[in-house]
Formats: sequence, C-alpha cells, structure tokens
Amino acid sequence: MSIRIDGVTKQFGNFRALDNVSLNVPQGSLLALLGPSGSGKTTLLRIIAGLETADSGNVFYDEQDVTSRSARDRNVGFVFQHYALFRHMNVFENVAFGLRVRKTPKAEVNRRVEELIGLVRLSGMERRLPSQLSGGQRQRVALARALAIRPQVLLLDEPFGALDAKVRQELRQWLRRLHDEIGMTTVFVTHDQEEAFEVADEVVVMNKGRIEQLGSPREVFEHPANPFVMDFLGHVNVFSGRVQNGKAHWGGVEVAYPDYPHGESRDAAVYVRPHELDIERLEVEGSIRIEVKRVNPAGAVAKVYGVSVDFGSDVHVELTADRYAELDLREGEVVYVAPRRVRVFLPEYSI
Amino acid sequence: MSRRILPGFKFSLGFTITYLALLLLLPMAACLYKASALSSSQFLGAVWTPRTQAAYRFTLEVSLWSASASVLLGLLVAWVLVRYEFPLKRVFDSLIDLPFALPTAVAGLVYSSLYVKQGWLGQYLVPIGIEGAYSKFAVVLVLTFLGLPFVVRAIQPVLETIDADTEEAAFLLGASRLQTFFRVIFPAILPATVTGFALSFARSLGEYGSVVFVSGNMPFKTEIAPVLIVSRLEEFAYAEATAIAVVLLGLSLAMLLVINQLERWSTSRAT
Repeated sequence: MSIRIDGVTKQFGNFRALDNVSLNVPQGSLLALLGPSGSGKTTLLRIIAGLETADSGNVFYDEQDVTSRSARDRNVGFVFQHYALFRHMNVFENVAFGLRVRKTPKAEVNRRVEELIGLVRLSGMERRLPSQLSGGQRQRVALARALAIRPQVLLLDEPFGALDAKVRQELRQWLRRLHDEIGMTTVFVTHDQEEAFEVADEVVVMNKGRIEQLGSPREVFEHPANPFVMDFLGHVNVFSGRVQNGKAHWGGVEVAYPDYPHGESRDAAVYVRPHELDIERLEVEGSIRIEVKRVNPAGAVAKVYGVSVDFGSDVHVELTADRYAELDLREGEVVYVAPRRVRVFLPEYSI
Repeated sequence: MSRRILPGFKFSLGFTITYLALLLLLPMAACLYKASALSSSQFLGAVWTPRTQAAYRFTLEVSLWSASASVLLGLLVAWVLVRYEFPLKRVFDSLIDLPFALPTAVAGLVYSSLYVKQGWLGQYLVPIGIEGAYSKFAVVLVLTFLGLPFVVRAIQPVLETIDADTEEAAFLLGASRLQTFFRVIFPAILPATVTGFALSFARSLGEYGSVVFVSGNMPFKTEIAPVLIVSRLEEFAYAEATAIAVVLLGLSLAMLLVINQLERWSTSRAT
C-alpha cells in the first residue's frame, strides 16, 4: 500500500510540530524519517498511524482518504521505542492479542502466532513474560505483534533507540532483510543518520516541522540541499567565505561557483567534510595552513583536529590509515590542508 | 560470617524482637491467658450467642460492602489522578490521605451530624428514604470514607507504570476501549486492586471510633463486635470481653496473612 501525505500541519500550543508537510511513500518502499528531536518526525509518523490528528491536510492510503479514520480501523503495524508490550501476557499472548480481539478462530491464531514467533526467531520462548526477555528480544516480540494483524504498512518509532550498539546493529540488518522478504511499505523514525542510511531506500530529512530534503541515502549525503542537511549528516567544517563573478573564495582557496554570476560580492558559507580534506607538508595551490592540535589514529580513519593559522577556526580532517602512516604527523606541527571538494551555500536573503 | 556494610545489625535485631515481645506478644498472651480462665463451654457461651453472631455478621457485611465501594471509587480516583491534568491536582492528591490522619471519631461525628434528620444532608435525604445515620447504610458510608485511601494508594503507583504507549498499542491492534481496559489495563492492576480491597476490608473489620457514632449500636441490627467488648466490660465481665477479643484477634491475624500473600503476588507481577 502506498501512503500520501498532503499539506499536513500540526500545532501543539505555541509549538508548530508540522508545517504544511507533503510526502509520498511508494508501495513497498522502506523510508526513514530522519531529524533532530523536535523536528516533527514522530508527530508525522503518529499522524500516518492515526494516533494524532492533523490540524489541516490529509492522509491517503492508496489514494483513499483516511484522514478521519480511527487508528483502530487503519490496520497499521506500529512499533514503539519502548516496546509497549502487555506485561502480564507471555510472548505468545502478546503476539496473539490483535488476532484475539478480532475473534480469529483458535487454530488460525495458533498457526499464525507460531509462524511469526519463528519469523522473529523466538521459538521456544512463547511462555516467557516480557520481563524475562532482553531488550532486543522484546522489540522482536513487539514487531511480531504488529505483524500479526497482517497490516498493510509497518510504522516504527525509533525502534532501536533503547537498545545497545551491538544489538541495534543486528536488528537494523535484520529489519532490512525482513523488509526485502515481505516487501511491506515501511516507515521508520530515527535521529541516527547512520541507521537511516544503512536501512532505508529513501531518507526524508526533517527540521522544525518541515521536510528539508528527500532522496536516496547517497543523494542526500552527496548532494545536500542546504546547510542544515549538510550539517546534520555527519561532521562538517564550516568556513566563511565570499562569492563573486561565479567564484567562491575562502582564504587562499578559490573554487568555481556558477550559481552566483553577479559582480556584487556576497558572504557565503563554505562546507567541507573532514574526509574530503587532504593534508600536505608543502604548500599546494588552494590550501590553508593549520596547526595540528590533536590526532586520534584509532579506528578505520585517523582523525586530525587542527586550528587554522590565519582564521583561528577549528578544522577537522579524516585521513586513511595509510595516508596517516605516510605523513607521520606531530602535534603542534603546521601543515597545509587542501579540499578535494567543497559546497558553497549562500545565506537566505533576508529583507 | 559475611561482612555487612552498615553496622548495627545485632542491635536492630534485638530491638525488633524486644519490640515485638513487649508491644505485641505480651498483650496477646495476656489476652489469651485471661480468656483461658473460662471453660470451653463458657468461652463458647461468650463468643457464640445470637447477639454476638449478629454482630460478627454485621461487621463482615458492612466491611464487604464498604471495601467493594472503596474499590470502585478508588479505581476511579486513581485513574483520574494518574491520567489527567487539572488545576489543584496536587491538593486533591494530598486530600486523599486525610482519612489516614483524621481521628476516626471526628469522621463519625461529622457523618452522623450531616445525615441525621436535621442535618445539612439528612433534611433532604431522610424524607426520600435514605437513612444516612444510625443505619447499616450509615456504617458503610463512613467505612468507605476511611477505606478509600487504601485502595487509591495501592493502585496509583501501579497505574503510573503503565504508559499511554501500551493503550495505544492495544488500540492500533484493533481493541475497543472496553477491550483495552479489560484485557490490558485491568489485568495489570488487578493484584494492586485486590491488595487495596483487602487493606480497606481489614481496616473496616477493626474500625471502632467512627462506627459507634453513626451506627446507633442497636443490638441485632447495627451493633459491631468491638462494641460488644465494651458492653461486656461495662458489665465487669472481663473474661467474656477478652474471649470476644481473642476471636477478633484471630480474624485480624488471618486477614494479615492474606494481605501479605496478596502483596507478594502483586509485586511479583509488577514489572
């Protein structure tokens, strides 16, 4: 089933949680709503589920307007961050709940529940209470419970947020495989860009109740639409520069910027990702000088933290392990840093 | 012997045992000793007459009614206090405990003066047949007032641990509001509710101060067992009085055991 959101606005007191949001979720896709807290991602998910009503705008399932339909009749599978399991019921009864309230015949309930418990790999734990399970197991029970009613969409609200790093990693990959197997339209909320990129086909970056950008993980990461998206998706160095005559300048660095062909000089922000900076011992064209303050070679990449000699701003560089070994950097040393790639954003015109 | 972090284990154990012996066991033993002066037929004659039977029955009956009423009202109050925000909520919340602190005789006096024929409420209620003073109903009324906080304070903390997510989950799975209450919420708070019932029931069994003011103490009709003890004492029949006391003591101990079992059951399920 596809989902279409059309001009949805939601206000909580003085706080505008969603501001005229429109979005299409195609049938069978796995979409991540990504944003900082307060960006409206959870509110949007709850409006899709029917747990919250929009002040204005409409929600369509397969072109059918469900805006005023109760959450109970929308037939969605919903997974909560803190599992929301029924604690006095064992695993079997939790999963069976949706079927029991629908008066499903007993044999059918048994068959379906066993099948789902197998799917979430909890066979043999049917008689356990939620309090006897680990966090990852509880979330899998919650997922099986949500799937029991054969929903047409699956909605997950920060499903892995309360779990520790290793379990989270496993469940992410498992969710992706599950989606590939059953192909259900799935929307999940996360504030973790790595999680969104790893699991989703499409990522919706949200901020202050609006959608900042929508696209595949690669598109969003490689071509951020604005400074917010650039900043939110991983570390970034920000320098202040100027644009004029189709070129952007910052320090001694000059790059082409055809979007601004005018002769009048303007302020601009120059964004460079840490892994898109190179360190050289000798001065190269289009580089700035930094003093190395601290290096952290642990991990897949070596992280170098320095301060620009000319502007005093912090500069964060990531080098491959090989390049780091080759350079043999010392703390306190002055080196040249050259960007392989920069992105220039003009501040919004304000009148 | 394993080392304990905090000192004073021996001292506090000694204090506990002395306390138990002096304040509980000694009076109980004295009570039993006094009653043992009676032969078994005399004992039975004291505790098992038509009048005492009526008093036991009356006490049990009003306790059951008031505990049931406390559970219904207490559930409602706990629900409102946990689930809704309203002005002066904190004030209401602390007022719930008023019956714990109030001398019960005050409650009895206030209730009887409100519900007598000339009272503020009685002048309207008595003409339409509601006898709120000197009747069984009066006793149930005042016992419910005293028993309510036990139920509220038993249910409230458990209800607070059930978050709105759980209800939303049930709703999304297709449960109606009634199904959500009876299948999801009520089973979770059932142990606490039963504990609340038992506590207010026990309180009602032992209540004296308020009941003597509102019941009218009519033999065979509205007389409770503790009142019988007082009237035996007034007749200087000490052994007979203690015999009835022994029966009540046995009842209270049995109730305590039941309450303890219930509380263990409810904590074992509250996770």
